[in-house]
Amino acid sequence: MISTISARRYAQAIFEIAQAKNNLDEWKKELRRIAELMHDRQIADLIDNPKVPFNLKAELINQKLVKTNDLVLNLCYLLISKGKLKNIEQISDEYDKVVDNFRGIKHATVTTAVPVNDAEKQKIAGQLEKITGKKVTIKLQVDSSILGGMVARIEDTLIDGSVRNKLDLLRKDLVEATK
Amino acid sequence: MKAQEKDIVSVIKEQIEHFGATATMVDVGTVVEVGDGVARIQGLRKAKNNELLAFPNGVMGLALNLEEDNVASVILGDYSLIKEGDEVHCTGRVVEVPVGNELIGRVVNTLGQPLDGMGPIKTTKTRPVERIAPNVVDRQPVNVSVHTGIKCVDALVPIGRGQRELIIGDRSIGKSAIAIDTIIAQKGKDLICIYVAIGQKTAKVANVIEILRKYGAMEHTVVVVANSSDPAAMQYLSAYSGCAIGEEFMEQGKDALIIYDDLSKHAWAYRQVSLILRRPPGREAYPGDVFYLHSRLLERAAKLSAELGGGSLTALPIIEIQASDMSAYIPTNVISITDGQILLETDMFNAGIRPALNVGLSVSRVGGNAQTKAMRQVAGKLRLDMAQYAELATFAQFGASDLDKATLAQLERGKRMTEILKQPQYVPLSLENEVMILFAVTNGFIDDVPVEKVSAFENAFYKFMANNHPEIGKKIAADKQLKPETEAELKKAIAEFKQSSAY
Repeated sequence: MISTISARRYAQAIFEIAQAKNNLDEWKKELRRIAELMHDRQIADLIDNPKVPFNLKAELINQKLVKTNDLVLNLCYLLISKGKLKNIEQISDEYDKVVDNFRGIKHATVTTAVPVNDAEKQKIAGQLEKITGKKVTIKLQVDSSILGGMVARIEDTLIDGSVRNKLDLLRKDLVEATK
Repeated sequence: MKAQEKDIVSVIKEQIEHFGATATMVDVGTVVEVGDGVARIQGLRKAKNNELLAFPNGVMGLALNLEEDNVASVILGDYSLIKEGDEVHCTGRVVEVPVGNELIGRVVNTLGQPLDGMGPIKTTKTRPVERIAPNVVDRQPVNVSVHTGIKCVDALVPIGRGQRELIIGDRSIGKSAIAIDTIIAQKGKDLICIYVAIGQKTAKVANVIEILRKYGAMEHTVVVVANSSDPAAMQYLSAYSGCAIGEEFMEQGKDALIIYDDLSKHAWAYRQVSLILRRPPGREAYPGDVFYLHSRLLERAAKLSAELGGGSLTALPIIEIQASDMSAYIPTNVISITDGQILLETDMFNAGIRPALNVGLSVSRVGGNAQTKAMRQVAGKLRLDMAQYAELATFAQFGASDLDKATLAQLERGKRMTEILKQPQYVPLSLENEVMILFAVTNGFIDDVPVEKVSAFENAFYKFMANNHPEIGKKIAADKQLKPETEAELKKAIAEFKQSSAY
């Protein structure tokens, strides 16, 4: 829980630097690259090992991240010295969110009972954009248990127009009526 | 049954007409941690403080801590049904309880659901549990008395309608007894009583309900129960839901009396919730807002202005103290919030003085204005005499042989007054009986009765007055004061009774 808050702070700082240098997408790519690097168990263990001196860790990162700008390296050094490089994945995720928020893009997960085609997807996106007033990118999911209609989740907001939900509401109303 | 069928039909009809017309849009979050009756939920960015949250399986929660990326919620119900990853919805509602006359005579839990097995309660109205107290212009001074039927309370620490009078003392020395006697005394009168049992033993609560039934006091009483086995959140909320039930009567222009038994356990329950929510602990590990916890509750007791119907809600909070330590955190807080306190003492209880009311330290800051004139006429002298007696009694402990006559007379009078102020449980007295017996003792008519016979004298006196001079009692009850001619009649009747020596 605490780490997401700190990840958000780092992401915000990175965003401000990237915005000043006008290379938002480059940073996005670089952060992903570091995150992938940390997926390597051996590297992650070495970075995490307090017995390994900082110089060695820094050199390792320096070698692995060829052709990158100095600020990215500085970020790595900072995170190594704070022992937070293992959270780079979260920082990267938070950074993506900050950038999306800056560009007015929202991500929606849309669940339907049957697969939808591209034309329908466009229509759904258009509707959601109208509701939120932002650009919406859609991730599709198919779940037959909702029976019909669709469920859209945009961040913390759930728009539920499924048949399942309506049946649940009906059941609730009936139980209330008999009380 | 017929009515139910109709309801179902109308629900189905409506659903057929409108099915599929709307999609619901709600704020959702995910449970990341659950335990000890508290759930931490990620998301729910638009949740408001004190909002009701819907967990799966019909369990409800109350949003309490709103943090940057999570919300901590207490769970009202069975938290073993909730697991990590469950989806939580905002409801946009606050906690409400059903209120109204239908609740009278019933035993309910914190959420107003019946616990007495007497079927559903068909209320038509609900009220939010938390509410801001009536403000200055909505109130008027306390000016009508609550007749408790307990001599020493009515005479020395009178309680007015709309007042908050604390009952404080060690465990099991008759704190609840005073409250229960007060409820019993309201039988056939216009005061509706609400007894809120907070964090008590279930057996004790069952016992109280049984006593109230036995004395026919359930007919004007609502009992709100949150036992010690109920979740801490329910115990903490029960006081507020009891208060909401009382406020409804107050706003109808009626008079209501609410007893919180007891607020120490209420504070414990809130301390538990707060600590689990990781709010910083303060003195005695209570959270910083424990004063506000009680002040906002007790402030809701009020006497409403005539424009608002003139109803009232009187609060009798009970505080249990440990080893007579009145200077602990919660007792001092509640003493400073209330309009006076009734202090019960272990030493007096053990000396056989019951109710064990400490005359010197018990006060009522507003009730005196509300006291009936008849009671004020006889009780004014009583307090002074009792105070002088207490002083002399400590002095005379070292030997009463060489005291002067006046002092001895005062001591003898004091012993009889103490004797008169004793009262057995469950026998609240009428106002006229209280006035007559106190008149007799303060005017020295009992000075020549042996101390051990005072109690017998008292009982025989009530019987004599009821049989031979019922008109005097009726006059006092009607006039609400002792007119000179009534006083003369009363003196004559007392002399007549002493002649007959029926005790």
